[in-house]
Amino acid sequence: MTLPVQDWQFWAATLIAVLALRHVARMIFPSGIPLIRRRSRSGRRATLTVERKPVELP
Amino acid sequence: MTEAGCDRCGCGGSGAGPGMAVDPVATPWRVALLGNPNTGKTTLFNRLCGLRHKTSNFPGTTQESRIGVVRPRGESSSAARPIHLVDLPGVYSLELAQSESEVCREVLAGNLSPRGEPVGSPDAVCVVVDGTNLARNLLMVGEALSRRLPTVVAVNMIDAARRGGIRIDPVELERQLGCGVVECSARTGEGLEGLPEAMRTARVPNRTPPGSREGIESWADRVHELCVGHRGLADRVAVDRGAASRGDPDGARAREVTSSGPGGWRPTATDRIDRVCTHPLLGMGVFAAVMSGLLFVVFQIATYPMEWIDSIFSGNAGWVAAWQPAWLAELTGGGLRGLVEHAMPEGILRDLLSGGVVSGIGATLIFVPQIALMFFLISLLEDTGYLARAAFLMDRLFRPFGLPGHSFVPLLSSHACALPGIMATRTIPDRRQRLLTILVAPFMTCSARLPVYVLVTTLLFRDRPLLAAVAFVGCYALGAAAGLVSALVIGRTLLRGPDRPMILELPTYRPPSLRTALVTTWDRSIVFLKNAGTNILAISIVLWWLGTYPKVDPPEEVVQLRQLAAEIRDGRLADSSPHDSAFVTPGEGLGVAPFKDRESSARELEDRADRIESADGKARSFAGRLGRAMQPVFAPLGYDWQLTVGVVTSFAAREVFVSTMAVIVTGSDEADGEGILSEIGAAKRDDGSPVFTAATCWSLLVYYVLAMQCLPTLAVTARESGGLKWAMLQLAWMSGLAYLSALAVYQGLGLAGVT
Repeated sequence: MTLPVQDWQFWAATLIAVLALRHVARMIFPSGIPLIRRRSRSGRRATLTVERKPVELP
Repeated sequence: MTEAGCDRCGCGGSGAGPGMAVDPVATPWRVALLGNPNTGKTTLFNRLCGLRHKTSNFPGTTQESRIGVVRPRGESSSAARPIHLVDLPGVYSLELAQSESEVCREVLAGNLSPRGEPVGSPDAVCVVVDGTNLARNLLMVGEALSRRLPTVVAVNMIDAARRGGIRIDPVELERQLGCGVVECSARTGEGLEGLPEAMRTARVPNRTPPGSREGIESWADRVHELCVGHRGLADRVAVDRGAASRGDPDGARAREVTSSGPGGWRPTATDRIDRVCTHPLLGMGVFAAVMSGLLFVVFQIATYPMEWIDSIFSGNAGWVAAWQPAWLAELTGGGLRGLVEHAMPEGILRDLLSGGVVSGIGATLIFVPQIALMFFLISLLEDTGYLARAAFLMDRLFRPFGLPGHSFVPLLSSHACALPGIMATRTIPDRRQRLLTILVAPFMTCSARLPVYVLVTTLLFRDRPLLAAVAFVGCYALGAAAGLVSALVIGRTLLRGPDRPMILELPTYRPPSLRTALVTTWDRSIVFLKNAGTNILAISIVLWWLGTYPKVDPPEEVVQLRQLAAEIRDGRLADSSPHDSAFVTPGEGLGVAPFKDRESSARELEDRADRIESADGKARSFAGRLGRAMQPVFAPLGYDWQLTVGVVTSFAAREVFVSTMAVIVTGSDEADGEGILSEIGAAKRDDGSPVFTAATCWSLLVYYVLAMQCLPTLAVTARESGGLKWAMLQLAWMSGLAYLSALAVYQGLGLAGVT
């Protein structure tokens, strides 16, 4: 009972299967798999600049 | 549009809006197609664009949008910008609190565009009105004119209007509306040659209708009286009985319009037909006859292209092989799978391509004939005007269960495949009722269930085809009943809310348009292939991997068989036994038979060894282990580990069940032959008792009628309902109901002594 890890074709087939699995997962979870969903970076602060100079907001 | 500036609205711009510089050739001219339902808007769109269109949806909504391209014709117009026609949902008013009205409002305001299109106001609006029904359609025209966008009014069905004795004065109508008017007939093509040019040269109306609802109504009446000799055809509007009593404005309006015929109302041919077709009893009889005919034609005629597709992929159908040359038949004897195996060197990638990819594509394409035929016939029925009557009749039946008559077409489509059925729910205006329809649509018996029904009813009623047919019809009835009862339960618990009255216009009966039906069929088939095809292919590849690995050493029996085959081929066994040769009877192990041919006997043994090795490999694969691990869950339903593997692997797609059982029991996935069915029927459990007892068969049948065994359907539900929670609810509800029902059937039959 083994996996044919010495055969490059096994790895190619596995890669294709993983991509297919990813497609299936994205089909079921269009907005990302809940447990491994990336955190939004919307909370990061950034400095607004115009022509590389910071702009002070009123 | 000139260099001096826009001559349409006087803004001095290019015509595309204030201050916007536009390349006159490269940038398309975007025109929104607006109108009431049943004004021939889609026929007009198909006539102008043909197949040059794409279907998507408006972002953030489930409203379908179609964008078509109208190419400029002739040398004189070669420099003209192509028109991008955006087909908006049919609405009775822009001001209603409905999603389709909101979509129209937002598109006209420039806040919403179909997916892939730049956001911004359309360059022009084309309002399609029904020439036989101008008075009511003018309300929509008034609302469109008040948007102050370049507008052209297409008076459609002008041929039918003339036949009905209605004379519309286009010059007076143009003067009253303050915008361009084109008389046309989308069905015959009359007057359509001038419509694209009219869209390009559309101008902002120089008249503005009143802003209030009452003002627009009196304005529409006045315009109608000035432009039309008399109010010819009375509108026929079917309104839910409770509409007016609930104070619904559309219902009240519809009643008012219905009774607005001048000087007595004479019944037309449509009215006479409707006396039968919308009659509570006679109408149901006509409905049953039409639907039986439709389903019969779909399942009878679609068989031929399905067999043809099957033969292409697996080389099973004999009639295809009859006309092809011998060399091609030899090369493609095993279909595309055989061709791949013939052309590629032995290896894992070859197995993946033949067992995963080709099978996956075949599993998708094989359903296309049924789906295409179903949509073709539905489109023809819709075009005749009968489908609106069918929805009206079904409203009486569905209403007690909380479903509207609009659900009829999605549920009918679901009998071919739940995916297009769920996508067809976009036509249901009320979100709550649309969700209900989406949740229960997979209960309808789809094509993918049929192989399972065939297998189980054949095992249950061998040599008794009448009883098998009754059981088959019973499965359809059980699925439909479960759908209606589920709608009732969910509608009174999770999706509680007021029922929206169904307002439905019953259009005049007319001959269907073949062109519209063909374009619709093409459109729906492409959408199915894009959405479902990729999903089924991906699932097939994943299942292939799970069913192939890990690799296991062949069992002792296989080693012995191969050794025996080698000895026969070498002549060692034949020498010692000149009149007999070893062979294997399925299920009985090694035996002895009269000597036939050394090579063929050896090949039989090797084939047998391959099948046993394949079945053993499948049973010990990841998928097989999953089945064994889950067997205790399904044991109360009477399923052993083999049936559990079949049920678990067919979670992604029901049709996989039969081929999985064939592989596990016989080692071959060709489950079409009578011999294979017999072998599946004779399958034994580990303790030697039969797998398929009568109680197990009934339990399995009920389980597959009710269970949610289709991953692509769940995905489409999640997308169309706008949330994963609805897909999960659908899965839990259907699977739970299926499990409990199958449990009750198996245990009940066990108590009754049926084994």
